[in-house]
Amino acid sequence: MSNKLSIRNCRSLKFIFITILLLSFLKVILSNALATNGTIISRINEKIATTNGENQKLKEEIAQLGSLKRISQEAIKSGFVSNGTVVSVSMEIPIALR
Amino acid sequence: MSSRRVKILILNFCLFAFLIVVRLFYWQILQGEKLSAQAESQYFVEKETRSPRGEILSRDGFPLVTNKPSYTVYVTIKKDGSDSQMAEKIAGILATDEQSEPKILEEMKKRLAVSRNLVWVALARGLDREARNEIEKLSLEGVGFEEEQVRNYPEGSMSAQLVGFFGKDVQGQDKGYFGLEGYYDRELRGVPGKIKQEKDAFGLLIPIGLNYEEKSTAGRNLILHLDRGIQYITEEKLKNGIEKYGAVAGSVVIMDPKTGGIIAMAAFPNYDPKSYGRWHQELYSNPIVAQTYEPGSTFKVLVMASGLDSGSVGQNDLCDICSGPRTIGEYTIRTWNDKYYPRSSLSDILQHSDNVGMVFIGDKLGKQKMYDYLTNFGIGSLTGIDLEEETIAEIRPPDKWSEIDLATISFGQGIAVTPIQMVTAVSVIANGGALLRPHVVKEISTENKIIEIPVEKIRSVISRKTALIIKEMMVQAVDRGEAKWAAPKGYRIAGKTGTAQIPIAGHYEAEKTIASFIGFAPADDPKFVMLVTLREPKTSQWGSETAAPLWFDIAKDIFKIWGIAPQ
Repeated sequence: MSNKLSIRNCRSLKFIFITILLLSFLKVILSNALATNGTIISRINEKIATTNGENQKLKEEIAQLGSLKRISQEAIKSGFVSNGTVVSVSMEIPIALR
Repeated sequence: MSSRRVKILILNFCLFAFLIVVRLFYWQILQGEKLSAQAESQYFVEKETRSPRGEILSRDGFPLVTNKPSYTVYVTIKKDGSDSQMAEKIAGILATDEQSEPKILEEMKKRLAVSRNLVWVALARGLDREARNEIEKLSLEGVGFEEEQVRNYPEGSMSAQLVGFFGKDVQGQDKGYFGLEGYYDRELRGVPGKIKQEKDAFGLLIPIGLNYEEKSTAGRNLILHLDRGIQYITEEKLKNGIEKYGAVAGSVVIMDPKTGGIIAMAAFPNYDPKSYGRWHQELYSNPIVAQTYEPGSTFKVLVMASGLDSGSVGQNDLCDICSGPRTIGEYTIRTWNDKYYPRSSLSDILQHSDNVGMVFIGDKLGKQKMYDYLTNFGIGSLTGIDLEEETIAEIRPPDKWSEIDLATISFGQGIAVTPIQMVTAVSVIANGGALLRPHVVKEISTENKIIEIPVEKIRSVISRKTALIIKEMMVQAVDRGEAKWAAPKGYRIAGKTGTAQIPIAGHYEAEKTIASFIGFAPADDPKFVMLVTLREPKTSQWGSETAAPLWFDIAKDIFKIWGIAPQ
């Protein structure tokens, strides 16, 4: 009875020991694989910052180009003039006067 | 071993243990916080994430106020004096012309001279992206940049007094001042975030390390009722109008009478919010909400509406005192041209802008009713517009009015209002009787939702019937009044001219006036209410010859932009 128990305990201990060994090994491999990812993350962060900067620059340019002040200056330069008279077509049905 | 030696040894051990405890106490308790902070700074990298200030957008989503980066260029102080040569190169890039280069360089050298015992010195501030790139191309050793976000105005000084400006308070903290920047400072201001990440010995981030992040919250964007095209035209026309009529100042405010939304708001002289520090502080506040004036004849429409709505006068009543000047105590009230129209109808009184006729209405109304109606129109209280510097123009209680006060108030003298109060009050006539709170902001947008500012009805002031009668009278005043020559043909426009004398040091200056015109169009389905005021016009003192033509000129363009055809 006591022999059987000690054999089972021995097996359990072996199992735990192997599991610990495997997990430790796995952690070493994973840590090793991820260790160089810090550089990649830094590079991605830099890219994000650059892209954000470029987006902001483009937004500024669009706003600058779309400003009415600039458009009106360009229009004057190109020879456009404002139309003083507006012709509107009456919606009333024409009738014979006599 | 003798027992004495053993005792000494034990004592030594105890003493040693005590010293260790003392040292541990010093490290862990006294210096604990400092050392753990030092350790943390070695393990962690901490960054503050920016929270951009919210943008201010016109109704078409175009940014009137946005953000852009601005840079400070600094240089490390060098003992061999090579920093002066760097300054020379940088000054060459920053100079806009040959004359400005020596000035910039001199300023930089001054900064270098007073900072010899420092590690680094800021050579120039407020650099744009292009200047930074140019300097970077020089690859100068010891030159660096510090970035900050500043306000950018793609439309320049357009609606400067409406948007306000962004500066710093006495503690050096960012703060919005005046207009929308001041009123909505808390909404526009974001909350900066923090990122704390574990790093390795080389300063690189450890992916499986500890990460803490407090997310930043961007400032909220404001979407306005403001129509950018109409605002631009209004500013251009007002600028030209001030020049043409030789006025010292002028303002235009255009409001949607059905929502209270501000479509355009312009005043001159104004300032450039980008370089607000260079302008006189008097220009910072918006005169449309912060300056009071005596409205003169434009006020007559409110008194007439009060008289009709209260039943004090009937639509078909005739003026029985209009045959000549009216004397009240030591004062004599005359018409503006000394012409008198006996037995004028109410419509004639408005059409002729008859002061004596208005005294007739005022007499019928009485002090208390006049006061009640005017306060219901919002005169004497804040309109509640979402602009920081709105000023209250108080109205005296009726028990303090003398007979002459009742008479002068009935034709708009001896009472002060702000332009925004006048426009809000006349909107009551345009929309059929409801006083609405004027609003510049239409929506507030956050990252994931849009908060709409609802139309806010304060109270009903007059009945729809009264509003219709007054509207017709105002249409007659335009079609047959002094300003009929300037009105665009084919449109039904309801309006009223005003020429008010300016009180200076207790008396009215005969030559100095505020010319104004208030009205709405198209009269039968009003799309806008507009008030034009010109202070001290020189070509003519009359509103019908200055403010009214300017009003019609702006209205013609609005009709074109919104496709409103003549009837």
